Amino acid sequence: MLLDLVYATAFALGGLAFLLFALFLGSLVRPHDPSGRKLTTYECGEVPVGQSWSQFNIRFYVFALCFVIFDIETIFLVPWAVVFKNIGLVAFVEMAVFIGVLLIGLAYAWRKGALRWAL
Amino acid sequence: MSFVSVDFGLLVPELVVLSAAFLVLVVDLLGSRQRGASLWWLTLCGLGLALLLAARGWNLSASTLSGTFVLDPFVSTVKLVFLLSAFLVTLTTLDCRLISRLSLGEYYSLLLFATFGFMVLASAGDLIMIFIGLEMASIPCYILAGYAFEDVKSNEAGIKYFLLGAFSSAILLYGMSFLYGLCGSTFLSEIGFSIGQSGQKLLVMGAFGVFLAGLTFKMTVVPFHMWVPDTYEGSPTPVAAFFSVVSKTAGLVVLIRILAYFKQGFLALEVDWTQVLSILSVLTMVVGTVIGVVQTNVKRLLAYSSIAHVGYLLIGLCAGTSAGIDSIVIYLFVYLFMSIGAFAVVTAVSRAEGGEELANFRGLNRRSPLLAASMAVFLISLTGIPPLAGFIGKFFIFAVAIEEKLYTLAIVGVLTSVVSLFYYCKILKAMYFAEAEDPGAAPVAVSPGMRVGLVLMSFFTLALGLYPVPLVEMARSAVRLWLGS
Amino acid sequence: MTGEVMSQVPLITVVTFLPLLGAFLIALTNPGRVRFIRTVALVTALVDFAVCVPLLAGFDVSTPSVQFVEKHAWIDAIGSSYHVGIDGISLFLVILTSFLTVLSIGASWTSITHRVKGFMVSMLILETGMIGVFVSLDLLLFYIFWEAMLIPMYLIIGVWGGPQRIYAAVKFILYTLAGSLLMLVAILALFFIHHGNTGEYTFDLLKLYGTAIPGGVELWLFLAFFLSFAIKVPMFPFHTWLPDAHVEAPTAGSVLLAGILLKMGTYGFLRFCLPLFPRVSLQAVPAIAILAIIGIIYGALVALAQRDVKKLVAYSSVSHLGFVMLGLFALNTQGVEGGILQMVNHGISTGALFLIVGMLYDRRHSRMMEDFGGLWKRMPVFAGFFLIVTLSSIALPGLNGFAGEFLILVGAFMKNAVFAAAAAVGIILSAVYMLWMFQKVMFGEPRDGDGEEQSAAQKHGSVFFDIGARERWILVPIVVLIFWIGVWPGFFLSRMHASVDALLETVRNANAAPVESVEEAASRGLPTLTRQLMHGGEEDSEGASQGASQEVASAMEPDTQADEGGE
Repeated sequence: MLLDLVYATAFALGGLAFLLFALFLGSLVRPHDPSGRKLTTYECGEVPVGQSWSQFNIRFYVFALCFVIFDIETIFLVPWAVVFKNIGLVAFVEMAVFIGVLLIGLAYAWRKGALRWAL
Repeated sequence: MSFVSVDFGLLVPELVVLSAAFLVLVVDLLGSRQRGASLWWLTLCGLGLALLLAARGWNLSASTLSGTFVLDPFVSTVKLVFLLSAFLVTLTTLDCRLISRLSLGEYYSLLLFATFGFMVLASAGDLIMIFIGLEMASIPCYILAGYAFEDVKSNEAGIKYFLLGAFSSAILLYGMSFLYGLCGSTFLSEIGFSIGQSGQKLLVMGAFGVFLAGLTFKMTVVPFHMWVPDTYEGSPTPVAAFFSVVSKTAGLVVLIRILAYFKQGFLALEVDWTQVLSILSVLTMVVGTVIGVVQTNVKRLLAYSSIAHVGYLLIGLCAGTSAGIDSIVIYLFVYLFMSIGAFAVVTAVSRAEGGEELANFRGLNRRSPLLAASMAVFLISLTGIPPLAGFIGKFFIFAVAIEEKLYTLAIVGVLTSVVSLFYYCKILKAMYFAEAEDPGAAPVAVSPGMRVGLVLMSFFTLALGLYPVPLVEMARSAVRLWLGS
Repeated sequence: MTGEVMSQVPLITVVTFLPLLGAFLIALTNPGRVRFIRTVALVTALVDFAVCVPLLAGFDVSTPSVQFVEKHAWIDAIGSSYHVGIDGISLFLVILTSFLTVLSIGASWTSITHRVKGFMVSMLILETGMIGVFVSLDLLLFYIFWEAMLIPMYLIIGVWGGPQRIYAAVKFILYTLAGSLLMLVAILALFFIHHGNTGEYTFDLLKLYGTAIPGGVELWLFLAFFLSFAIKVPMFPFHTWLPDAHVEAPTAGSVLLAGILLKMGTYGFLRFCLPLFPRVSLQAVPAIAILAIIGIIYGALVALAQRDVKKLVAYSSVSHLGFVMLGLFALNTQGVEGGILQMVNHGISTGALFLIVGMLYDRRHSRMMEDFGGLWKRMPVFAGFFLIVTLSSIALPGLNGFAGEFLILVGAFMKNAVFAAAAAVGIILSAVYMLWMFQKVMFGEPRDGDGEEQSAAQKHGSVFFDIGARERWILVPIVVLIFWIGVWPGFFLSRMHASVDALLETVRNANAAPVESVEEAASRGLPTLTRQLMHGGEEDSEGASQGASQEVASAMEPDTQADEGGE
């Protein structure tokens, strides 16, 4: 047990030493020429436009949320379908309640205009 | 493959509240523009019905959902506190257009969802249910705190409450994971049994300590109270009223129940939390009271006062006897009327005045004798001056403290009561002794619901002070039935 | 036959709660109907006073026990009941309360002009609270009345008081609440000690009397009660709320504050401190007597330095109440009876002085002595009343003050001649400041004010127009009482006698023959010792504990002998 730890530590230290050594070698041979452009965002060789902190339309968020809810619903539906026969009516009612609650949520979002793109 | 059978009969009050919440949402979608009143009625009826049903099954002791949902007289009594508080808060907010431009549909349904969550939390029989109940209650609460979305302070309140609430939930969960890791079970009764067997005194103390830290945050006990004044001040006033009673009560109840479950285990390990709780209690009373003295915003002042009151409640817990829990139950019922009442008056005043500074209360006696008189009743009761109900509450708390020889706690409680009188006096002074800045100020309008609510709460504050026998009997038999079973 | 009818009527309950009924009636009235409100308040107070007559008539002089007792279940769960009744100690205080309330309402007839409804409601609720304090025989009930009456008084000072009223009101309520909450803790401790002794949960005062309290605890409980009552009296170091409250309160408030509220403190000593903690009380006698004497002299000296008439009267209260305390803690018949009589006297005389100051203030809108002078000529009728009241306060023989203070001095002298001599200096000082004030106000050149008083001056020919019928009718009954008590104090003393003797007997017995209780206390206080004794054998333990109790008894003996020798 203890020996294992020693091995692991030695390996980690060796790795770290290797890394630092390679970086050290590189710094010996590479040219040193800092410039502002080197600090800009890398956009596949293109000159970057605007800020990297750009705003998304908040409605994406609402749509995504509604989507995720119904996406997750299927995860519940699959195992439910597998055991449905064993449980019977109770399972049906339970799932009906579950989907009903989600549908009320959808109706609510719809009615309140959450699904409209423009106000 | 076995399917868990559910005894829906035990869940009826919860289900009624939940259905009311959905119904409010649906009606809000279907109705016309002028639907505030119908939603209000619907919420009231739902809560009233749940109240009746909960009161009817009051002395049941049972559990369902494989033991994760426990019902006993103590829990049922506490649920009455939740439902009554939600009922009274709703009663006094018929016309709270002032809360937000948003329709009231969400407001009422969130209130109902939160109530539902707290009820589940109180009944939880295992750690998972505690967490689920807590989150079901907390998330609507975060939204409610920020409900006045046009108000910067309300936004601040919502965010602050959310961040710190989520943080404390995480801490709570961390403590739970330790407990589970130690005991291999999430059921409170099993954990209580196996911590005694484990012999891991330090680990148990650490795990429960972390758990306690998470809970005391919800209860606004002093080192974890920082969020309270800002949140209460920013939240819409009725929401603050709801927080001041229900969320504290919920935390306290969970703590009481867990301590009851773990009692044997702690005894076996020779772990005693009384010292810790006593220190927390003293800190809470002192800090809540002393900082309250310098407040000029009435809502903030009431927030600090509500912190101090948690300190008094903790005294009952420190006693560690069934009489101590009696006194807590009595105090909760009494506190409910006076605290929600006081916040309701603030609601009415800030609606008329656009603010809840002390200056807004100047000369209130002239402009609305009803508001001023009922506020006076609530404040005097909060101080604990007889013959109002607050005295009965404090009386039983102090009685328990003295019976258990916790003289320090009793004396600190007494002294902080005196200091608290000083800041309640500031409001009384403004209402009765000072004249309004604008002598021609119009009388403050009071809605019918508010009127009924204030009269009801003042009546109970007085009646329970003069004749507390039914309340005392109920608290005693509930606790006795619970601990006896 | 009348007796039977009387016993059917719950007189005490009627006396206590009738004002509350009146308050309720007024509360339902439109605030604009000022005349009606005043009339209802006055009639309620008068009827309440009238109900006291059968109380006085039906009072049995021969028995020390509590009379007109009513007992009903209230909060059974903790053994608290609605238990009321009166004995010789509380009888006159109840009557005094209803009497002074009538006068106060009469006195505020014209001087209270705004928020009349609230004022009258507060006054009547206050009356219920005050009478309730005097008649309660259940500690919890007593405590509730004791605190409940803070709020109306707070409002009376705070709403209708003088320029510094808010400060005075807050100071008043904070001081008194601080004391009384500590008393609550002590009451609860007593409750549990009694339960520990007997297994019975009760707040019934008569059952709690004689509770054996462990030695060290008794001191603490006594101190908690003492603090609460001493603040109320107020005794010397705790008196600072009094000048503010008295000066700022409206006339009616000052009358009731001085006349009744202060008596609640001294009454508390008699009813609770002495019989509940007889041993510590006896030990505390020197300390309390010294505080009382400091109060007497200090109050008088400060009164001497006042230019404000009302402040002077307020400080004179500190001095007079010092006398009362000295009498009560002389712990002999003369002293205690003198103390009770002096409570009544002070209520009447100082109440009257505040009424008179109020009348002066109504005319001149000032209370400074330099604003008055020469009233002897302008207001001859008033001057006569003023003179009688002043002399009664100085304790001129033949007037009420003399009877009380004489008895107190006799009692104090029997206890300790030095105390009596020191207290007598207070009487001389009181003559000095009272006569000085009388001279400043009544003699010399008249000074009419200017400004707002001029309209009244034009109407009546002078600012200082003589008192009218209403004011005379307020002062006449006071003067009657002053002479009645002065000439025939026996009427009052005979009704106190049995109760006072019984009380002193209780204190004496507890101290003289403490075999049972001290043994119990010792066993509770020193559990290890008792355990050792128990192990040591039955006979040993008995002998040892008896020896211990004899020792304690003999330690107590000098005091008791002094008491008996004194009589």
